[in-house]
Amino acid sequence: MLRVDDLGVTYRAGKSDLPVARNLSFEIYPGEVVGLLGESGSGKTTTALGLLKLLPMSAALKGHARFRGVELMEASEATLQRIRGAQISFVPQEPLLSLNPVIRVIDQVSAVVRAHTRLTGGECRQKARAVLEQVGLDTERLHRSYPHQLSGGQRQRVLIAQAIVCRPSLVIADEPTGSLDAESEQAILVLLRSLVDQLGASLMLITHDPRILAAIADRVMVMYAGKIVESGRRAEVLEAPLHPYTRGLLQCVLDKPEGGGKPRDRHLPAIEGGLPDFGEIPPGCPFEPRCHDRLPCCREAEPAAVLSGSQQIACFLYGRRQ
Amino acid sequence: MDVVNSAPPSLSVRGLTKTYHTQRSLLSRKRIEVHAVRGVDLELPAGNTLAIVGASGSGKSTVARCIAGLLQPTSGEIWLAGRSLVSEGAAHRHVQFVFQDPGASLNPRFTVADALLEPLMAVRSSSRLSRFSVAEALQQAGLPATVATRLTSQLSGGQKARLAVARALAALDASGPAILILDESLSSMDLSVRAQMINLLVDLQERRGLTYILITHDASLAAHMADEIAVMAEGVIVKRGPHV
Repeated sequence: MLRVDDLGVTYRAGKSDLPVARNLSFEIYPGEVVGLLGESGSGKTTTALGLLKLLPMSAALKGHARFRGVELMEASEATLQRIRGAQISFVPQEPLLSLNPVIRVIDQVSAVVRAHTRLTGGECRQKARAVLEQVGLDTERLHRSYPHQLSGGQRQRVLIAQAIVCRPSLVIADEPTGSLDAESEQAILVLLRSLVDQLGASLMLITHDPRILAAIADRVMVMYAGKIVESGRRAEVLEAPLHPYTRGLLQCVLDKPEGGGKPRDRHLPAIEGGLPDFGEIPPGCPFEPRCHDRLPCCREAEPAAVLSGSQQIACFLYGRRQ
Repeated sequence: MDVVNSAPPSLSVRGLTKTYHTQRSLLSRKRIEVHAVRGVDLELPAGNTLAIVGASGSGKSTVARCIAGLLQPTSGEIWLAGRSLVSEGAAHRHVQFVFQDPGASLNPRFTVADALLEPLMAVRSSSRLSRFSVAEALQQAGLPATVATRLTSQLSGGQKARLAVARALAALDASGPAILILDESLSSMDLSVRAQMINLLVDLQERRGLTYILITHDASLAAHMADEIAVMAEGVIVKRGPHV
C-alpha cells in the first residue's frame, strides 16, 4: 500500500546540511501495524511528516514514496490535501497543543469531515458524534467539552477520532501514549489496534518504547541517527534482536515486576554516550562510537542493509551486501 | 510500615494533609476545598529509596512538594533526622527536587557552570560557594569538565539530565542528610538515557548514602529502584510494601 524508496530528509541550517533521515526504504502492507522505534532525535517524526510533506521549507526531500499508486513526493498540493487526513491521517504527539483550546471537541472532529466531504453541517456532526462514541467518549457532555476540560487520555481519544473519522487506509500515530499513565496507555493501545482492525487500515506507530510495540505491532523498524538499522517481524526484532543498537536498547527495558522486590544489582547494561550530531555524522556506521562489537571496517564505510533470516540489518557483523 | 531498628528513620512524615482552596470556575466566587492529601504517614531510613506510585491526581506530587518545602502542609509533621522541616523552613538544604523533563528546568542561556552555581547564589552562602568545585560536581554526575563553559542548551538530552542531578546535589548541604526527590524525572526519558541515569543514581546512592523519593506511575521502574513502594489513591496511602 505504501512503498518508500530511498527517502531522505535534509535540513538546511545555515551553511551546513543536516541529514536527518537517510536512505529509508520500507513498505507498509494493508491491515498491518508497523512500529517505528527510535530515541529522540533519531528522525522518526521527521520521517512521518516527510511522507505527508508537512515539513518546514528548510527541509529538502529526496527519494520516492508511493501510496496507492500516487507518488507523494511529486504530488501537487491539491492532491496531497485530499490524501492528508482522509487517506493517510496523522495522530500528533501533544494532544493539548494539537487541539484548538476555544472550540468544542465535537466541532473539531466534524471540521475534519467537512474538509474532506460535501456533507452538510448536521451530517458532519453526526459522523463526529458516532466516531467519538467509537473511541469511548460517549456522553453529550464530553462531546461539548473544550479540550482543557478533558483528561490526557480523553484528549488523546479526540485526536484518534479526528484521525479515523474519514476512514483512512493508513494512520500514522506519533507517540500516541507519550503523556499518559500506564492504565490509560494500555487502553489507548487496545483502542488503536481494534480501530485499525475494524477499518482494515494500516497503522504506523512511532515510539521510543519497545514495550508499546510488544503489545500491538506486527513488524518493527528500528531507527538510529536517521537510518533504519534493523527491521523484521515483531517477535524477531524484539525477542531476538541482531543489531548491536537494538540489543543494547532492549537491555535498557526494565522487566515487569514479578513480586521479587528490587534486584540486588540495580545497574543496567546501558549504551554509553549519546546520539551523534546530525551535522557531524562520522563517515562509517553512525553507531560505531558507542558499539561494543565494532569491527575495524565500521569506521570506514557505512553498512548497507543485508538480509539475515527475514530480518534486515545494517551492520557488518551480518555480512556485506555483494 | 515497620520502623527499621538498626538505623534511625531519617525522614518521618506524620499525619500530613494538604487542602487546596480553589474556585469552582473562572467567574464564580464560590470556593471549594480539594483534599489533595489526607493523612499520610511515612518513615524512610537514610540511604533507602521509597517509590510513591499512583494515578494522576492521587496526591503523590503534593506529598513530595510538602517534603521539599515547596508547599506548606495544611497540617502534619515532617521530621528529618530529628529536626522539623515544617517549622525550621530549611528543607531546601537537605531535600532537593529533580523535575519531570530535567532538561526543561535548565535556563538555556546559562552556561553549565552558572547553572550549577545558581542555587548556591540563591542561598547566599559564601562559605559553601568558596568550597564548591564545579569540576568535582560535574565529575560526580559523570560529565566531562570541558562542558562547564558550554551553554546548557548545547547539551544532549542525557547530559542535561545529568546536569539536573548535579545541580540538585550542589544545592544540598554537604553535611547532614540528603534527600533527592525524583518527580517523574525518569519517565519521559529515552531508554538509553534512562539506563545511564539509573546507573548514576545507584552509584551516587552507594557512594554518598543519598535517600531517594521516586514519584512515578511506572511499576517496573518502582520495583527496580525502590526498597519500599507506597501506592497512593485519592490522597491516602492504600498499600505499601517492598513490592506491590
